[in-house]
Amino acid sequence: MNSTKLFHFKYLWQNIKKSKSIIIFLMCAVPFINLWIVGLNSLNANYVLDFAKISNITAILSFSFPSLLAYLLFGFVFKRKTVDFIMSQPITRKKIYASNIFGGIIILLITVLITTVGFGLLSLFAKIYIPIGVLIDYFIYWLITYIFVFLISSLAITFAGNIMSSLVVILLLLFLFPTLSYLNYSFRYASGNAIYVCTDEECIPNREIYCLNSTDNCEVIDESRVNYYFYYNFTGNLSAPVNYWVTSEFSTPSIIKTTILSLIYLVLGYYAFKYRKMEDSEVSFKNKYLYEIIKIATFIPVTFIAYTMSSDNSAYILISLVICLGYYFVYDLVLKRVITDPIKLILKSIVVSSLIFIIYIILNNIYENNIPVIESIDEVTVSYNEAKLGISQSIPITDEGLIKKLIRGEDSVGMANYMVEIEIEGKYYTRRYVAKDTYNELVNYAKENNLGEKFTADNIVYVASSLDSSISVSLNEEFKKELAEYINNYEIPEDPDNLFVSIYKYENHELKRIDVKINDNLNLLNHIKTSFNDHFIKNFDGDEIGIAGADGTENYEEENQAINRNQDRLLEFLKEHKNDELDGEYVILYYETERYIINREDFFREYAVYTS
Amino acid sequence: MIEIKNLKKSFDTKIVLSDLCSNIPDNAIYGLIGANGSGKSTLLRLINSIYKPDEGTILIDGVSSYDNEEVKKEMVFVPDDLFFYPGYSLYDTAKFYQAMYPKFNLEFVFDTARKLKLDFNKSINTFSKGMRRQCAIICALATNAKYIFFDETFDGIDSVVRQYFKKLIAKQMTKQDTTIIMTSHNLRELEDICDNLGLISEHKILFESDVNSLKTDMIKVQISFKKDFDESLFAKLDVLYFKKIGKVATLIIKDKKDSKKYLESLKPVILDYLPLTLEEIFIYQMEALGYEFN
Repeated sequence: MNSTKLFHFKYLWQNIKKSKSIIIFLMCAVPFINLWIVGLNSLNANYVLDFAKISNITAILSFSFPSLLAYLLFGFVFKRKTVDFIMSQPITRKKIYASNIFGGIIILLITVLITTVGFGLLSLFAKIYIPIGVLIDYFIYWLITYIFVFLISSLAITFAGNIMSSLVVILLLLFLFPTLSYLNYSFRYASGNAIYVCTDEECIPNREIYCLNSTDNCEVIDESRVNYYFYYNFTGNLSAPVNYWVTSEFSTPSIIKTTILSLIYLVLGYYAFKYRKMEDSEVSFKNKYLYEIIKIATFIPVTFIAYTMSSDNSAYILISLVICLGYYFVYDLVLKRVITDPIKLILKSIVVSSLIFIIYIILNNIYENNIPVIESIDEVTVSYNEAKLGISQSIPITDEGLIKKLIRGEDSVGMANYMVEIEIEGKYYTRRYVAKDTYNELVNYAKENNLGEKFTADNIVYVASSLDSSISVSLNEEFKKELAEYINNYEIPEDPDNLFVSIYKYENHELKRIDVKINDNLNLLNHIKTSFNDHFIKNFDGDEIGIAGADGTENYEEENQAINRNQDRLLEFLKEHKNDELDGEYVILYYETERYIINREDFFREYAVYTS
Repeated sequence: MIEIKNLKKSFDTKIVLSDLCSNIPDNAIYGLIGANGSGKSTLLRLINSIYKPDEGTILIDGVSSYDNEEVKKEMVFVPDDLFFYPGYSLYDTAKFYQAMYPKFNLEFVFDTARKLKLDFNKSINTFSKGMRRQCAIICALATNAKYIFFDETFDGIDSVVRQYFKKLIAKQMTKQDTTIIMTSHNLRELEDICDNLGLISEHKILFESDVNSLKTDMIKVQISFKKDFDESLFAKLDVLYFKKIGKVATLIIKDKKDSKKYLESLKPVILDYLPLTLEEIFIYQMEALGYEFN
């Protein structure tokens, strides 16, 4: 297709040129703010940053920057004289729309690219590490999200007659679905803190004593067990990005839905612009029915706040009423700048809020009476840090005996370290405390059935000291292969130990960490030793140095005193020997979180010579 | 040629134009006059496809202009409320027009701006109202479009520069095959430049004609007799206006073949033929059509 039939590049250039200062400022400011905030947060701590950590500020900017860009490109429709100027030019509406959208996307692409490259440079030169996979995900996710918000804003501007009304439409398109989803979630959640009475076969919610919300007396425990039972927010996925105003987790379904919705908004925007009545500039919504519909849509979240307040405490009923009435007045004042008939407005507000309240009450009752019985389990998630496997992973279970044990759960007292999440009907999760034996059974089941997650050399992205993540170990293929093999056959020992490393893998858009003991593996120790030793020497500032054996024993009191008598000499010695290959038993010198690894025999023999 | 048939445009319930028809010939300067709010600007916006008509057609050289890029390359519109991009100089604005109009003549802008002492590199928004309009007119003429539309053409421009622009427009007419459509609520402003005039009122063009035939069509006469007389004395003539003060009457009559001979045959004491301003012609024509302005 001939691009000049769709785009008018000269017009586009001129349209961008007229706002070049603001656009260039934004294209610099957005990456700068991102890098500054992330860099600032990482100044005093060394992080391996995952998608969420580098996305926090981007999520906020994703509302403002693309909307502002849409105003710069399409904002001419709000003023009669700019409408006259642009629309009288020899360019079709299709080309104006297509050129502005194309230009906007290019600007967004450059901005997100600069930010991504900036993060890459930050990773290279600052004390943080961002895996390449995270950078790629960041670029894809936020580019699509920025484009999505830009398209929504363009559509809203085309629909509305002035800035305020377009802002209302943008907020509606962005937040109405997530808000409805959140409201739905809230009702489910409120009804969901149920107390279950469990047998070996099933757990039945005790409808007599269910809790309305989390602040009620849900802590009371009798023979049955209190279980969090919460709704998995699948309706949130219908909107896009998935609740990104709540969380900024990378989500493939969200990306797909956002892309599809973006295409829909792109087409809607085109037709809205093509058939827009340009004479409708400088007024809010020409159509009075559309005005009312949009007003009611924006009223839903307000009524929800009012409903929640008044249902929690009847003393708030009056305040709720004032909120509902006040909103109707404020809305008209902002958009119309005039209140024509206050009495009619009050009546309307009362009627509409009453209707919405009735819907809320019905929804609440429906959910309260439909708390599901737990009788089967689809999948069990062994939680991160609590898992003996060392890493969060989902395990599908078919073993009937194990399922029954998990359904029933165990007495929660003292079981906090053995908690699993179970998935029910693909929509719900419940957290259940289990006894240590059941937990071990679950872990063994996963191992025997080869269900656990596997490490490969490719998905290991970072290795650091588990005590201080700034001690990173340079990765080479041989080391990564050895690590992967080691981890896949690894079992976390029961006894505490003092030489763990954290291994990070990035897979399926998730950064996961496993802490593994490497005391027994000389091969791996030789890979990491130099990094640890260098760090030890570099950061030493006169602390008391301790000595421990490879197995963690610390019975070197005399030697300890000896080495601390002359630390300067010791450091000289350590500098000389930091690269020594480990070939047998070794000792670990330590202070705070630092570790120095050296052959035991060498250390004691040569150190004795050195100090004599 | 611009052909407008049965054009209708309403804003909400307010009808602005209804059943409007007009034919604007090629290579003419067409003056569109009408009171404030009569729909002149709306008509220009409709022709320039800024607004879409509710009903009716607008054909430019036989083709609909609505959202038609090729046709619009031959049309340029200078609205009453001017807009220039913030911070744009005349040079920037000219470059914008150059990007949009293939026949744009940047040299013309340079030359004219120099003659009018307009700072080429200064932001237009710092200029006075009249200077801003000068910039807009210069850019419009430089497009070399076949159809140029000026809304409230000389608003804010002083009389010297106004004359200069009138000459420039006339030159453009002779140099190119240009049709210029100008609006004003002040007929005197258009009188000495337009060769065609249309009056817009009551949602439509009530009346349009070329100026020459309008002027030769009517005569204004001051007449007096020894005896007393009234309007019935002129019953044989097509009298558009009659007013008698004392013994002297002022008449506007449609100039038919023997009108002057007839008046002379009445042996008046005073018989003076007075020049008619375009404003008078319009007013009397309108009164003749049944529209009363007094």
